[in-house]
Amino acid sequence: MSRATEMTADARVGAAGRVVVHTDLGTMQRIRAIARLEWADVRRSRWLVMSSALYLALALLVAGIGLRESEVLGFTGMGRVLASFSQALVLLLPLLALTGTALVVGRARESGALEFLLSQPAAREDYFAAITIVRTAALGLPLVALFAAIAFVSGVVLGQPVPWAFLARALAVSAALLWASVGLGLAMSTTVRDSSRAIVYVLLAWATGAAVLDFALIGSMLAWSIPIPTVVTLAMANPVEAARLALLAGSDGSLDTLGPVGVFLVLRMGADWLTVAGVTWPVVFGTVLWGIARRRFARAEVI
Amino acid sequence: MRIQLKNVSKRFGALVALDDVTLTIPAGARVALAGPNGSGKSTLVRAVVGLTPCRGVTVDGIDPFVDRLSIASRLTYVPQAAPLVSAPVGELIEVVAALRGIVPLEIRRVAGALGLPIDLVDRRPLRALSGGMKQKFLVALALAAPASLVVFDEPTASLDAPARSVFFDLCRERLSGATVLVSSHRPDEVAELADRVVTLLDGRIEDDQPAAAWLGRWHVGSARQGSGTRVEAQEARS
Repeated sequence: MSRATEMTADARVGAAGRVVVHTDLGTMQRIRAIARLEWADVRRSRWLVMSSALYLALALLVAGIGLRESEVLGFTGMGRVLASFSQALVLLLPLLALTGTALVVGRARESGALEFLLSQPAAREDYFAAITIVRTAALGLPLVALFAAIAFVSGVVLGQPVPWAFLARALAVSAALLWASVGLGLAMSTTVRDSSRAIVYVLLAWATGAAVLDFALIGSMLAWSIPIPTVVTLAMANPVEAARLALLAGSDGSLDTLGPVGVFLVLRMGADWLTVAGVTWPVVFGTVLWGIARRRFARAEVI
Repeated sequence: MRIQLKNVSKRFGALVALDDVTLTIPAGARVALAGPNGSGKSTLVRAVVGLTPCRGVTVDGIDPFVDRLSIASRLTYVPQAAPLVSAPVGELIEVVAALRGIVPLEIRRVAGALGLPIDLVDRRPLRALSGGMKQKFLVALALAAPASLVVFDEPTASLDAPARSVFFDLCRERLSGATVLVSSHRPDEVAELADRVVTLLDGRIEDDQPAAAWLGRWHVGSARQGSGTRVEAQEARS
């Protein structure tokens, strides 16, 4: 940031004896100020508690499955446990991110927060950036904690080597999927004025993402004789499926784990390129939708 | 700041909120917007503040929606209802003070004068305060900042009589030279805050007259035209 956009402060005594600090707040300072308020609001909301509880439940599930495998079968590695974890994660993450973002503008409008904040000296884009940062952080930080918990469980509790490669890949893919869902949620938030309707759209979007996964696709392909390239394109156009395949690409590559489309893509593209696509596409998807949402928020009737 | 509305119309679906409104408010003028519920007062106020896009509205020649930042630091606004946010009162003060370039103590001082000791509610979420406390808080945020345009949307609706009295005193003390636009149903607010009353009906300007003439219909004298003593509004007609 240039010096010109940095805050300059100059204390003086204004009209009617008021102490005034003359400021020329830069964009980052304005965003930080609004983000502070948004964070205070999020901290006290039940949504953050709920999302953290779900992450915790997922961590406990991984630990539980891992412990059961180690006790009953003799532990043969984290592979199967992590595959189950990945499947759960790609369904849970979009739901959390969509519920955390798709109602944010509507609720702020209904509560009067939008009217209050936008009457302060801050640009609409500043407000939008602040809610994006806070919501993404509120969703992402527990996710990082979840991965740390998995590393702890596998290394300390189960006494297994920590699957660092998988964790790094999973974190990158999860972050990308999270961003895709945040972008979609914010786009909904700036488009759908009514909160109850927004909830319906969230559930529809999530159900669509979950439905257009591998086995649903292959079922459709068989039923309607859809050409393979179309099925593959549909699969990869769905950020949830792209992320799922990226997460599982490094696994054993079996049909029951990856599904027919996944196996086809691994054979065609290779696991590494599938991972790259599974990270890149959700990021592009989320960024485009976020850009549309930001533009709409800045220019349209949102109050 | 000079406010100008030139052939302004605003629709919300089938509802016409403003219908070909043309109005000029010179810098330093004090204007009240009167009219029944749904007459377009709040829409006009929001258009001036830059909260809603409205072609034909300018403040000092600037479209307040398109170029908010260039006028927002000189403009303060007290909305009709306080935001139901969970952020603590102290946090809100810090943030608004930072955005407006004032010291937080100034907001606390004005709130204290209005009968809202911030130290006692510092950590409470704004939404948990009573209606009157929230209104005092909003007024304190607006009056603590230096502004050349102050917009009020029914600012004393939730204030008790002593707080209303202090509010009028603070306005007299702090708004000298500023343009004031107030949406109000209350004759005492109009008497204290306005020289001129624009009456809206169904989104159109029905009447534009000196405050004294408008108040005459309510048998109320204008404090600003007399000795400055407070006005006891007596509604003389239903």
